[in-house]
Amino acid sequence: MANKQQTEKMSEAIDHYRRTFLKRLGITSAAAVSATSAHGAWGGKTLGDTFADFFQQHYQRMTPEELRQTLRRIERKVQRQYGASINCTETPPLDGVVFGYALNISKCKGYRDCVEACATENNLAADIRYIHVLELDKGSRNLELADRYYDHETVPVQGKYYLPVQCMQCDNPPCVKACPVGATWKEPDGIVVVDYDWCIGCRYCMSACPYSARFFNWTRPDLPADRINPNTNFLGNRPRPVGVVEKCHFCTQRTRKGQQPACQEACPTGARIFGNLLDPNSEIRYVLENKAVFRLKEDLGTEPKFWYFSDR
Amino acid sequence: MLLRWLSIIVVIATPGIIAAEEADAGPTGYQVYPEAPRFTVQSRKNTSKFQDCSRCHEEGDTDPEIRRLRTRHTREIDHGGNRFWCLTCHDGEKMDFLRTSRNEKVEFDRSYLICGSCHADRQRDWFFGGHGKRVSGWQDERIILACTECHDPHAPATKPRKPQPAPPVRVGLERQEIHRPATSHVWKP
Repeated sequence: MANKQQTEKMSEAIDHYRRTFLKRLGITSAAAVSATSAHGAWGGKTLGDTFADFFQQHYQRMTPEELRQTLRRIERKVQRQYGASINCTETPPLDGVVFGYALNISKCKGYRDCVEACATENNLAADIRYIHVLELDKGSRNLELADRYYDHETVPVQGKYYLPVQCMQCDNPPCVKACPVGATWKEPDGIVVVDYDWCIGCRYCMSACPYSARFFNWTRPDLPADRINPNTNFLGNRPRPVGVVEKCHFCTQRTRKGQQPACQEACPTGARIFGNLLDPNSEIRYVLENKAVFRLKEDLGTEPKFWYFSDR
Repeated sequence: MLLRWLSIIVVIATPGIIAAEEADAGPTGYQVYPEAPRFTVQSRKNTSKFQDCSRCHEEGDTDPEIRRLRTRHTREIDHGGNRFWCLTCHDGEKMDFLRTSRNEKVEFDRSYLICGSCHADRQRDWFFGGHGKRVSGWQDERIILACTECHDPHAPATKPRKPQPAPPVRVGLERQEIHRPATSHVWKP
């Protein structure tokens, strides 16, 4: 008896959902027909943009024409969502270049200027930071005892040293292996990038990354229009949608045009050295050949392209 | 007519020749490490940080006696553990020049030659890009900052300052306390 009542209740509920579903379907299709103009349903999206977004290809499979249309569509989307006009470009990797980074921990004083410059350059959400400056006791390298939230009157503090960590752009990246849909991959210039539109938000890459260098957008980034950096690129600092993973990409929008990454430009002490690992005359090669360098969690075999060194 | 033109040319060219001679005074950077990648040092002349000594000091009027300075020189020398005196680095004859420990006269924009006479390791790193700050992009022309851009030569140690704000804790999370072990095995100097 009770069973029968339950079944009736369930079928009523299903019926209810079926009816509301059909009703909504009718409304949306009516809206779709009427929304061929610039504004209409879906928050001002045109029907064309909505379909194009849905059928957008993976970055590596796009034809140049598709990519061009996608970039224009992203610009329209940012204009609609944030009220900011941006210039979204495609920055292909440079030939004969593999990027590497070296950081002098003797010179890092923990000012966090790099963190702020990175946040501004890369249109980061308020609670995401690609770079974390860890404060450690001198003589210790236990990352579990590191403090990333230090807030002193002045730095450096006696007896502490500072270790900025960010994406290491591993040559053998575990995050890429973990991604079930191929939304993240290593570019020919060694930078591990994410196609934010292909990411399904499963966050497997985040648990695979030994450096905690990937961040998930739980909400849509709350970017005021006047704080948005208009110089963006597809694989780099364009505003990210909600529900995708993002990470440091060595400022591809800058470095692939020959500029320095924002963190290096902002560093007041010159602790950061960036360059082409394939150029024997580059500064980074001098550091790697003449200094005692180390990498974080080297034993995992991830082959990071981010080295640390000290003056002594 | 020709003579008049020649004299005009000579008059115009003479200061240029003198300037070139002064600019070439002293060894160039490339002679120190010829194999170092080429670079340009961002000039500090004509910037607000730079003051000509010759504004007050006329040529040859410098008192070489080591003494405590009274006026104008607002700063104590916090460099070299009290062994330094103005003329350790500055040229006594022409105050707009510096003098190395090898007694070579160099201009202010080549101050790295002076610094390197004691800090040779740092100087070598600076020439090759392991020390110092590059202001141009990572490729093409290499424009770097002079030593004195970051280190005040009269008090070269970097001063502590307030850091940028701490990173926000992610939404929905709480800041975790660091559990330090009771026995620390940290090496103490």
